[in-house]
Amino acid sequence: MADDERAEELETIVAIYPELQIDEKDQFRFFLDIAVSPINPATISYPGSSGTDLDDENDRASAILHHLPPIKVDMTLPEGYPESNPPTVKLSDPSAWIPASKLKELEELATALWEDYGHSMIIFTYLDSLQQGAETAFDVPTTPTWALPTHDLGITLIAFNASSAQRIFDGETHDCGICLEPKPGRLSHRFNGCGHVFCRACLKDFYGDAITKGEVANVLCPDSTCGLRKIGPKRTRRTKRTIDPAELLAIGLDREAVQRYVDLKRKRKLEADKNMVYCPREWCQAPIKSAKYPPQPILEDISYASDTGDEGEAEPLAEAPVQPAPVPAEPATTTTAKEPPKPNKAPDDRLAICSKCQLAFCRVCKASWHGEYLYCLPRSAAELSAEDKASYDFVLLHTSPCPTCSVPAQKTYGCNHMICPQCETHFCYLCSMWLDPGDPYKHFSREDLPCQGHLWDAEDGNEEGAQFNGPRAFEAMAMAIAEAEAELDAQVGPGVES
Amino acid sequence: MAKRIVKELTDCTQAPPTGMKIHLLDEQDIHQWEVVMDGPDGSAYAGGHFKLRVTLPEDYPFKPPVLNFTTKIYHPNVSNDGKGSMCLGMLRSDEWKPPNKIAAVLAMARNLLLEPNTEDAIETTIADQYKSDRKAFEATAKEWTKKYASGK
Repeated sequence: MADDERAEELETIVAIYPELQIDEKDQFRFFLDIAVSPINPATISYPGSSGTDLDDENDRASAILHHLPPIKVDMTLPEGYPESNPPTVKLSDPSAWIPASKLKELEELATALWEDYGHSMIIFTYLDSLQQGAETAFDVPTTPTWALPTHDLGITLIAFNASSAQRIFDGETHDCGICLEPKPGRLSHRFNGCGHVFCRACLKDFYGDAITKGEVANVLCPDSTCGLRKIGPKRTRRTKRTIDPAELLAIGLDREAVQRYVDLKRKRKLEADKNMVYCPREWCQAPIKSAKYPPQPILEDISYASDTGDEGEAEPLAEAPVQPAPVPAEPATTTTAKEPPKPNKAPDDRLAICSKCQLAFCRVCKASWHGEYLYCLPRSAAELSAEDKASYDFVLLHTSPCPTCSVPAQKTYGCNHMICPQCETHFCYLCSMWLDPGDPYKHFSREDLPCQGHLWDAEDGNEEGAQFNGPRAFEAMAMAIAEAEAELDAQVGPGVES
Repeated sequence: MAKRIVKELTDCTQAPPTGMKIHLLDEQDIHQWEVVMDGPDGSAYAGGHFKLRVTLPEDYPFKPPVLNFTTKIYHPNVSNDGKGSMCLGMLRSDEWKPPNKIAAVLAMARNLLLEPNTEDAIETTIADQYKSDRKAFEATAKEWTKKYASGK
């Protein structure tokens, strides 16, 4: 008859706890997980990394947890239960957040209850008391701060809390404020930041639409009260925080849309930057950030490099995707190298080089680069005309630039040894290279240079194409720097936009 | 989103917001609503019946509805150009949030009849008059109400 009593009690218990599992081999043994979601959420503090010293107060992370890992009950009703034998209970907690002594105490509670109730059926009473204990996290001091001994335990508990919260959310029904329909949690999305919930289909439509139309500033939580703060009796201010790209992917937007979102946001950020200039070429318009191209120091570096005869310094220039020979030590002994090459001491930060189309231009007057000596006035990009481009093209085609001051020089007649009318630098009309004023013609006899034997090319000056039409010296240098930077960027990885 | 519009319309016709009657301008088109709004008691518009047009854009509720007074009204927040348009608060596309509802928009509009928003006025001369010479403002508003909004 005792068997019947045990079976009868278990049947009742299974009805109350449908998730209860009866052991396959022993019909009077069962397993049950008691969920632990304390009434007062636990505030944990744990070592910030696995190597952190327990006492290091500076490196501790914290979190608030609403769900803790369950306590696992393994209960057996032995022969003779309930009359003569108490149930045997084994409690376990794989993540070990409950102290072993507490587990033991809870295990012993079964026998104590059995005694108290005069050897009667106590399974429900026992499980119920465990559940009640769970409401206070079995008296583990989880508030105000529960200091965990290890980093790993902190991570385990946080992960458990997150998955429990998600499971509960998925099982609930949420009213979507956009389609005004109740939607199951698994089709809904709760925003990481503010916790507002909408159905994913609506969010996808809303954000997809906003991104397609370029209205990235509208990619916000749609809730009408979200981010709203009272700043006066009748005034409110809204803090607008656009949604993180990762969250958009989680909502279900396709990669392409999210990429466009990231690009547009970046573009907006650039456009908001007052220091930003854009390539004045209408077909290019690429943004150029001033800090990226410190222009004038480059020229100085070169002269210093030549001064010390350190070819290594000048080396990278040779790799500029451009012109013929590496910059040699030609001007090393010239006046150019000994004296600062420019009269104005402040580095000319007007020079900008477009990273996309390589146009060198002045960020003040937006015309193609006119050299550092020219005084210019600000001009809006809108004023740039086809004339400017034509003029730049003409200059490229019919003149060679002075390697020091970049003044465009047009040869009317004579040999290709030029002296700059502006700064008296000696240079080659064919390749725009510095020439040694002491022996300028050596350049035209050096076997390692393409200008060998071409001193008198285009003697009457009007032969088109004889001029140096590659990048101006500063263009070549800026390009080399841009390239080096791009390479560096590629190594370091692109800057993460937040 | 037609479903949402129908739902809102059903709610608005079954339990109309205070002082309003709402119906579709054309039974075939759920994007055009016509509203008859009673001038709130205690305002210069009391006794008037103002007709409004609510136009829902194709991408409603992602974009705000458009509100026009088709009855002429003397008010700082309603354009006096024959269009009777309103553009403030949640009606502005940068302020609009998809969970906002038409009923709330209409309630806001009616509230503006009680309490004009002079900070965000579309008719600044009317707003100035409202602030500096309330009597003259109310006289004109009442006169217009009688003249244009006293019909059925």
